[in-house]
Amino acid sequence: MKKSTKIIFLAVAIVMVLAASVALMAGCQKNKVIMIWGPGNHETVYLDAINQFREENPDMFKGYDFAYGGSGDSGAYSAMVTSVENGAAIYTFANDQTANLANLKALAEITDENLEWSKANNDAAAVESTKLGNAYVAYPLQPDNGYFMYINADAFDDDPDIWDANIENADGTKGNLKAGYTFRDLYAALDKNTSPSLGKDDKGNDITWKERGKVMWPMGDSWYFSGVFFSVGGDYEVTYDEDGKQTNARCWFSCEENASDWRKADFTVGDDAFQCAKNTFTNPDGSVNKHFFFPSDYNQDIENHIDVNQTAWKEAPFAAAMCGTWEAAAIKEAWGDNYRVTVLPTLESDDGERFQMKNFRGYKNLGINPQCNYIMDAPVEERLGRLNDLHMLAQYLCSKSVSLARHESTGAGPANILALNDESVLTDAAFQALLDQYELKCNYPSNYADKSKANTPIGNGLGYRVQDSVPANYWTPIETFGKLIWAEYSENKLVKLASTALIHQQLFNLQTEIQKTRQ
Amino acid sequence: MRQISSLEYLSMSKVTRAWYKFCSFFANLPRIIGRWFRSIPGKFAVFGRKIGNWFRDVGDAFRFGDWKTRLSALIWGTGNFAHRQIGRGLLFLVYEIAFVLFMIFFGGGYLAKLGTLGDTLPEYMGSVIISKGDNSFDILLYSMLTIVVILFSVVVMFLSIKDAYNNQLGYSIAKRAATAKDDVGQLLNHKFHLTILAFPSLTLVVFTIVPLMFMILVAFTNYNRNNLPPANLFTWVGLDNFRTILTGQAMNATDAQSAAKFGRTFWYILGWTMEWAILATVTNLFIGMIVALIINKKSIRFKKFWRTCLVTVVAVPQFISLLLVSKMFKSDGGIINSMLFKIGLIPTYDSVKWLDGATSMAKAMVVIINIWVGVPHTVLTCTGILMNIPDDLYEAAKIDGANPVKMFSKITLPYMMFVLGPSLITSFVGNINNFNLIFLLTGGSTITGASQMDLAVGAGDVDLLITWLYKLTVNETRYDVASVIGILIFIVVAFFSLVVYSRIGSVKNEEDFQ
Repeated sequence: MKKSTKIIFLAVAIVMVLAASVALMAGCQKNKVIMIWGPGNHETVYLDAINQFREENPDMFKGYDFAYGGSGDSGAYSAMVTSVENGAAIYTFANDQTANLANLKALAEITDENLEWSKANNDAAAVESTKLGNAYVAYPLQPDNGYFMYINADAFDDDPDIWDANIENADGTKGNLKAGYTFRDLYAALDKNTSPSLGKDDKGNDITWKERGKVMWPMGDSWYFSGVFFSVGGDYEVTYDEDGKQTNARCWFSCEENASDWRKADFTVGDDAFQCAKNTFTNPDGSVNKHFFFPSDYNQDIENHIDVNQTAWKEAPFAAAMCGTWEAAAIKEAWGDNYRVTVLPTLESDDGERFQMKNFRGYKNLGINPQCNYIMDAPVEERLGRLNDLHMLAQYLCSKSVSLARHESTGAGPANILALNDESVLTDAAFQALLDQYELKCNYPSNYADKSKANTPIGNGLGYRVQDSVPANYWTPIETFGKLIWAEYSENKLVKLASTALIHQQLFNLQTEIQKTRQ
Repeated sequence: MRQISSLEYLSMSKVTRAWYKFCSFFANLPRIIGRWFRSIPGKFAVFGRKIGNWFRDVGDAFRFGDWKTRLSALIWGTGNFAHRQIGRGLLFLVYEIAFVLFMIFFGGGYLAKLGTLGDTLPEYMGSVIISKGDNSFDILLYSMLTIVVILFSVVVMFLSIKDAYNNQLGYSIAKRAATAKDDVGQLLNHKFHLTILAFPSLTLVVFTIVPLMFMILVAFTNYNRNNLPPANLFTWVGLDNFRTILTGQAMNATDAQSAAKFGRTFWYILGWTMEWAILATVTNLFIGMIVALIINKKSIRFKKFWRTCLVTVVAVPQFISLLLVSKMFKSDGGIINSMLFKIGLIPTYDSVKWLDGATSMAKAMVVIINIWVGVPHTVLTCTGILMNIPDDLYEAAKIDGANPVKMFSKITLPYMMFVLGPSLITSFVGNINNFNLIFLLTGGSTITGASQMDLAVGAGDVDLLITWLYKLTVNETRYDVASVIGILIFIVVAFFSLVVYSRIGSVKNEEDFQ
């Protein structure tokens, strides 16, 4: 090798080594940043609030900057699982992840005066949602993680059978669906509505609700589909210890508790749930009603099917859609004066029993990560003090002013009692409809098969089932079952659900899956 | 299968010959594979002998060495100091001290816990950690690093002994050992490769080999969502994960059902992965070859234009075209359905479920879309080969009265297959791991199919092993099982590559292609 080539080689090698060491050194010089995680569209609310807090408390968090990461409430666990030590100091999460996050030790316990503050300033049910075992592990933030019905008045207001023009809504509009309506009532009303009020499609044909109107509910999504089981009396009871380990799971979700043989078990609840579920989208003869819309991605579908300018809307405009508050702003803008919200429909079994549909009430809470850098950077004796700083900040983020700011910019319903009674929240139709749904009375129907239960409360007797920590293996089996029902009926080919025995087998499997601890 | 003589072979009709070749390939397959496996021990023996030589040399040094040589095993560099090689001796000594310090303050602690992967949980005061416990993840990772360091140090120790022995022998002859200046000179001259490769080798070990060892070892632990460090510990479980995946047997009764599902799911997905890889590779190869032949025909005009059209597909990143295509084929609101509906071919605007309906439909669609995305690549390669086939071969064939079919089968095809052979393996392996196509088009599952198939957690009916692995890691936090699947993918890929590669013409008759 020539000498010059060698020198070049050596020079390159030295430069590489130097560059690598410089890069390493740069990596070591960490900027001290405290991370906050929450939904992407909440960023400005949180950062503004934190700036405000720091102005009021200038001696806290010295030498640290705050940064915001949009993990989304449902993404908190999957983000935290990669590294708790590098995770956010304060973060929002959906309360069904409480056990998982506690298992990572990513939730600081709320005790003593902090707990008193939490109980005194927040809605009691929301405070309960922060409980794991006997400990409270988060601050209640938003009790609005539930679903209800969005109704387009134009589709239904001509039909006196289900429309009551005298109902006054929270936002000042008049007229809404009568309580106790069913999915089939909605379909019947659409069938009667032939007015060409929707304009013309690209080919010049009239768009009518009768021809194209759709009712959407996400029965392929386990969060929504669970509501059917809770509505007819199915339920589970699962206990966790403070470490987030499942200690016990009782379950009478789709058949009697502790059934060992599906041939002999009692399937009253499961049969009702199955029939109610299939009757939400079928006609009495078992064919699929053309007004039902099965969403593959319901948030996306709502956006496509409410906007007058979209082809999807022209072909299949939504007359009613089941969803949560996060779509309220978009739907209100698209529907204008026709925008209405109401409680969930009633469900019907094949024997004519009617059950008010419950929703699966979730909460979004604010957790503090006790392993975050702000705490672990400090020597052992200062760590409790630093944790307390974070408690103060978290409480500020749950206060009335921040809650209202959050509601104003994103429509998020507050858990803070003072904020709940604020005028701006009281006139928010979507959030109020959700609260109405929560207050519904849910009893077994008077013609219920088991006469001893008739007219007694189902579960808590109200329009929701609290979504506390779910069994470890919960979501997937239910989603699979919901999709199975839809698949078999929509393809008009009953295979796995062809007979009562097969249906019972499926229901039995569902319950066994839910009951077992996840491998 | 009975061996036949060449006379018998030549007396067969063409069809029988082709059939005979086809049959004998499959009849010989076990023998070929067997031969390959039988060759493994030999390869190990060669490797073992080389290692053995090292030990023998060191043994010799001990047997015949003086006290200085022997002391070099304990205090590295003694032999160098004794022969006034201060620079070299210092290097050995400093390295030894550094190594001992490393073992005491870092590596030793981790290595001692490798057997259990830690036993101390963190201590808390309230929610705050006051003393950190063992972190199984760190223990496993740093133990690997320590083992590499130890292996390297053993090599250094051997070098020290051999060096001392060489000095002892050399000193008696030349009365002078190499000085530090000589050493530097050597590193810049005939040992220059050592100088230049030192840094790359170091990065290779730290960034590739250690993580790879780590990933493989995870397959033998229970590192999953229930045992996540640092709050929890994970530990060794031996071959349990492999047994669950391959046989569907569980380690305890409560997991029996989900373990059975895992087993079933693995074989189903492996089957579909192989089906997919073969279909995708074969369709792309043949269709690509035909298109290339058509474009290369003399009578075809605007050749450059056609090639440009195809290159455009290659020029757009696959990732983007696939996302776009998946939107186009969406059953509700996708442009394909909308167009079919507008011209009146389908009754409703969402009647054809291209990618989200039945399993078989989705599978067919991904193969077809893969043709669209993949054929241009094959066409480009084939065009290159076709343009390189000398014209005189064809001219000679024509003079001999060969028809176009004959020319294709005797000149074009052998030429192409010779060059395409290795690239076929690449594309077959690439298709086994074709994450982009399956994941971006279908997300790995269809609504109808997945719900009827009752697969294990996270798996969908159109998933390949690689997409299932992704879901197990990202959504389900089952690093243990995912690692097993990673290893199994490697075995499948390695098996096919080695067997096929050792059989194809381009390797066996490398010299023929000129």
